[in-house]
Amino acid sequence: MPPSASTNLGYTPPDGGWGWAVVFGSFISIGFSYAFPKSLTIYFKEIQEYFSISYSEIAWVSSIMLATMYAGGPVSSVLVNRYGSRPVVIAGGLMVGVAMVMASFGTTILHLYLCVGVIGGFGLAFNLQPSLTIIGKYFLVKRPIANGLAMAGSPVFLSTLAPLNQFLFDHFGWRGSFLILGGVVLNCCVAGSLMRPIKIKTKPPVSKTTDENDTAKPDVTSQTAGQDKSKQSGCAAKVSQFIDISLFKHRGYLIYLVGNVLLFFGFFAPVVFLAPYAKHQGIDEYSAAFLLSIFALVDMFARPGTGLVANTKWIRPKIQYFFSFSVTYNGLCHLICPLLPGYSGLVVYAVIFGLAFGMVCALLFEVLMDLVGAQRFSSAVGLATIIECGPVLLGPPISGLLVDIFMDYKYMYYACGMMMLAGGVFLFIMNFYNYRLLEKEEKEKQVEDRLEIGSAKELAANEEDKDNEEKIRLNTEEEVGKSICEEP
Amino acid sequence: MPRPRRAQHCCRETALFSMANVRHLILLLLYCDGMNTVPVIKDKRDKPVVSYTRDSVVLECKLKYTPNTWNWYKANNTEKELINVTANPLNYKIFNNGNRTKLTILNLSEEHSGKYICSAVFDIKPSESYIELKVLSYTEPLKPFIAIVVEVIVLVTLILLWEKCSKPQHDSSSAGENDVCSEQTTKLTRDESNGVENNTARRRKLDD
Repeated sequence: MPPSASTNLGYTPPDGGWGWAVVFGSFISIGFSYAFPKSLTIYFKEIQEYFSISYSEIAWVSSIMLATMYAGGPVSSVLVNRYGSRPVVIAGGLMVGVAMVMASFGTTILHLYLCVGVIGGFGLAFNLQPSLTIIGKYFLVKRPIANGLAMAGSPVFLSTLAPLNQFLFDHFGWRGSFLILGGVVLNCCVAGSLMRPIKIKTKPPVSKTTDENDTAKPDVTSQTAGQDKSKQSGCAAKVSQFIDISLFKHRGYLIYLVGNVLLFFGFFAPVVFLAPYAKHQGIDEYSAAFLLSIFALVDMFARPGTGLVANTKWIRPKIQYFFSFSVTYNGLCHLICPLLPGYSGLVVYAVIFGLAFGMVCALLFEVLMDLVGAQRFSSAVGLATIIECGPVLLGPPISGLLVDIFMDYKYMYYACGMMMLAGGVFLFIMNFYNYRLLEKEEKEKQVEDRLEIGSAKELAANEEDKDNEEKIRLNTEEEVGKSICEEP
Repeated sequence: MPRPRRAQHCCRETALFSMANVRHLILLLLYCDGMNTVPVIKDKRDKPVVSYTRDSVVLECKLKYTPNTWNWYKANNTEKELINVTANPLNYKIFNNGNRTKLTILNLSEEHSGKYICSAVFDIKPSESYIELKVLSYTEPLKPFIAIVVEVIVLVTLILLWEKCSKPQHDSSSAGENDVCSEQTTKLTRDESNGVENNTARRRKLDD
């Protein structure tokens, strides 16, 4: 797909330089956002004993945190559209830090739900969205690599936070650990300070953003300006000032949303159940934990690798197909998992799954940027996460239910595999259709342009003719003048 | 739950040997039986439970079979002191639920640190396990926390200062790699100059 959607930024992204520092900042932010809720599960057992509650009640903490992180997407988008990435990330980091410190003094489980779950979740949402948005502002040509590198933060941080949390827990118990984690998570503010806003002088009206003048804007996120062209009356106009809901008319975006809902149903459950499945097969705890480490290690390298591959000139134009392929590959992977016997089979599965998981994660936001362009990406990702909220939260419990009903993990794996396969096939077909339509539209646009150029050429030719006529007239006048002068 | 005969049989045989302590006996029972049908306290923690002063803590012991009763002791060097809930209802609470027992200690202070032994009383011999408790004051985790906060503040200040300092340099330099501002302006000036050239070319043509 020709990157026509991405070039309406109004400026040329730097594609390097300070951009790599921004990628590092995004790496930290994304790492905390995804790894933090998962790594807190280490404390659950002790907190469960302390408050004398059941496991499902304590598991709510993680679920609420994840749910608020996804639901806070639109809020985050609105703030990023208005204030830019940097203040939002710093505010997010402060929120999570304060939330964890408050949680360390918690006396009831409700206190934990509110502090860690709600406030912490919002803080992480304020970290995730802006980090993704700012990559789109700094990179265009090398954007898949930048995305892949930034998304690699998640497995790296999970691998470091898990042993760190265990260490803190052994030395300080859960309260002291929450206090120290509150400090650790403040490093998101450091990441935020790296996200320097792009200062550019925007060109006078060439693109749709006609309301931008020559005044230097601190950010090109003039979503407000871009919305003026699609003015509707009433509250729709008010909403569209903050967030771009005209995205719901965007064909590619709708395809992306439906595909995502399908794939997220079966995306996280296999990760959650990998260790329990291994233990169910009779493998001891340490080997089961080692499987997760293998998975995280492969994931860590698969993400930047996928970014590199996606950046090549063969894949970049048709990156939607690459994404559909990775989703389908994921589905197939889960379908063959129950067939692999023994520990070595599980190791092979962990490696293949790690690769598949990394591929999907690295491309998840890159394809969205490719579809809607960097200008509307902020709103797009906010709306996408709130819709993905449902399947992300429902997926693992439904899978758990399947395991409980059938007392066997293979049906859960089959179900997850089928969901992802369905999502992948859907994306393949719809993207094929979408690419065809886009090519047709592009051709029509080119014909129009050629007509315009043709008419412009005609105009220019007319002008030249006029000039020539003038020349001839002037020449004849001169000659006449000369002849008059020359005549005695 | 009926007590397994094999365990009893095993127990009788090994009881003939005099063991140094109860734990050794339990390990031997495991060995002779080969499976965990022996009443062994599961989920033994190798690491101490950490809690804080003025907080409360719950120590738990779990077993596969239900004993006659549970007892909790605090180890003072080599002696064991029975924890009497009726004598100290404000500080201690014991909750027995079949095969598990929970000791809740309220109003913790540093003296509460030490080894706590939970004892499952069976007909043959009690099965015991210990949990270590460490009580810390709040200043312990506060030190690393403050260190990290200071590090964050220093880094943020450095990064923002560096950005402020490098800004005037960017304004003065004409070509910067990541200076979109100058890139854009040079592009604009190039376009403008092209336009001007075109005009002059046209005018020159006219003047010819």
